[in-house]
Amino acid sequence: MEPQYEVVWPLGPVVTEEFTPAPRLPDLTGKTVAQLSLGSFRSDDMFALLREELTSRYEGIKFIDQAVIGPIHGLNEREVIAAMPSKLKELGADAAISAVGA
Amino acid sequence: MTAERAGVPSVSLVATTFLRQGQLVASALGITNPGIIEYQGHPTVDSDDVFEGKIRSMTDQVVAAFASEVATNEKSNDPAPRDIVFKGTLDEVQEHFYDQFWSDGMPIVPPTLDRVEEFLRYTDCAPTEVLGALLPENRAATVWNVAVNGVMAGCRPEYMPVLIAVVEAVADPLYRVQDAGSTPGWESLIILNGPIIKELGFHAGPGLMRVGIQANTSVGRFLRLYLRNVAGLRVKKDIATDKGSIAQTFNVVLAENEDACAELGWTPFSVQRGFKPGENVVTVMSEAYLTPPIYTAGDKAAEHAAEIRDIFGGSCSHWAHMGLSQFFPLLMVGPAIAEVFAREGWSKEDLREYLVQNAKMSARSMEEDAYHIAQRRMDLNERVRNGELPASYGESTDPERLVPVFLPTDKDHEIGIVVGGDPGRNQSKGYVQNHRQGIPVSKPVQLPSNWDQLPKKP
Repeated sequence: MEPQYEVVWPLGPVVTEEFTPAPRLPDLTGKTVAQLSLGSFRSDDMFALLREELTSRYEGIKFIDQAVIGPIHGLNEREVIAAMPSKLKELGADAAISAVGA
Repeated sequence: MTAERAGVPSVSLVATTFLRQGQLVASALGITNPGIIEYQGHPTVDSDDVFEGKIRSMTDQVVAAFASEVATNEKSNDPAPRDIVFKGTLDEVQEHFYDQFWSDGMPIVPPTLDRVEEFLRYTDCAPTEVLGALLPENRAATVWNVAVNGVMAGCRPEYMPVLIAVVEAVADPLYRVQDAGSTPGWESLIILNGPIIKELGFHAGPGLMRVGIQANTSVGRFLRLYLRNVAGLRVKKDIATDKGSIAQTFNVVLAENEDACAELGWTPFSVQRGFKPGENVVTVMSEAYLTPPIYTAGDKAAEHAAEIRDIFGGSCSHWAHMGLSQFFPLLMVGPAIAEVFAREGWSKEDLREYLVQNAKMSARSMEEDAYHIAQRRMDLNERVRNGELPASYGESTDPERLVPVFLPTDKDHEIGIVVGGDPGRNQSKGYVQNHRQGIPVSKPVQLPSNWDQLPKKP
């Protein structure tokens, strides 16, 4: 009879901290939207077009330029991401759009 | 995800091929239905009209995503380390592991409890010790699952201290293991230094980068298997989390020829990495691509240096625009070539600095290479004016002006040099590192207190 092998799991447990997602925003009127750029693949062009579209739909909507936060993918991304929570709060961001994963 | 955790609802635009990876990463970080909006296709190959049409049409989805509730993950029912997850014959184990995406497509050694425990004899670390969490799946790297994957890869138990050091290196945030599945398809390269090379039978001579020697091959395979199973970087047909476009596959361990270094009066690579000679050190770095074989001839160091400059520098030049951020290419110098340099009093540092000073390319080439990767306009003169680059990159506006391939050596830019290969040949080779992804990270190999008493095969 062929030997039987009892084997163990080669993966590891996922180590995610629990958290409560941010409340949703059904209306962007008068809101401030942070633009978070990966810094390439035409993300600046994407933001320019989205700003145009959203401005035409929502009165008083404001945008935080991606250069203010800094590129979220790059040499300094660790520092940019570490500073992001306080920066978003300081700048009064109500929402964030990131672009583009490519 | 950072914005979400900070209380700011967020939406992400993602190109089609990264859609699944974005969802998996969000899931690994706690959200089951993230606000991800698909850019159909890829923005770099669309005309301006098509690009504009797509973005404008995505606006409705952006608005809807801000309004939609997101759900967090339920607690998963992962097996405990010692749980038996499958029982079967050798063939049945192979099929099961392949179907579960736990293998690399080659037969694995079944990870039974007794085999795993044999590996654990070769470390003083507790099996439950967590070495880090590996993105994108954010799974715990533990001493236990290092042993499990080491068994599977065909390693010998005595390789366990090396395996732990390898995982400590890739778990270091500096390594950016989450980028190990990025588009360039780079592969990790393990460099080994110290007496452990001979003690465990690693090969540092002719054909050292070929599959065939158990130590070099199985440890190299182990890392690729580990990145699949614990980091979650898998090629899985249409739902791959490893986004290497064409990619490549595991490198065997590069064990430096330290005997040759000693004969030449050259320091081992580990010393360049900040360790003392004679320490057992693992360094892991990314390797995006190899140079051609670098043949050099002549009895003068300058002749060899010039040819290495042209071929190694020329190969690195295609990645030089990326390397302006961080760049750690590696040059393996054949022992006979290293001897020519050493004879004239050149150290590894002298050769490195010669390459930094003398490898040049046209500014036009560098700017064009940058454009073709991400349609990102690069203006070297502008970057000089902004203080981001030294004046040597902006000495005129002539696009054919020559600019350095390598920035001056500093903490973010350094050419590594190792000695290896056939001492009877005149060949060297380069390993072009992938800029800020997979910068070299070095860890000491920690041996257990009873190492000398434990059986090992040299």
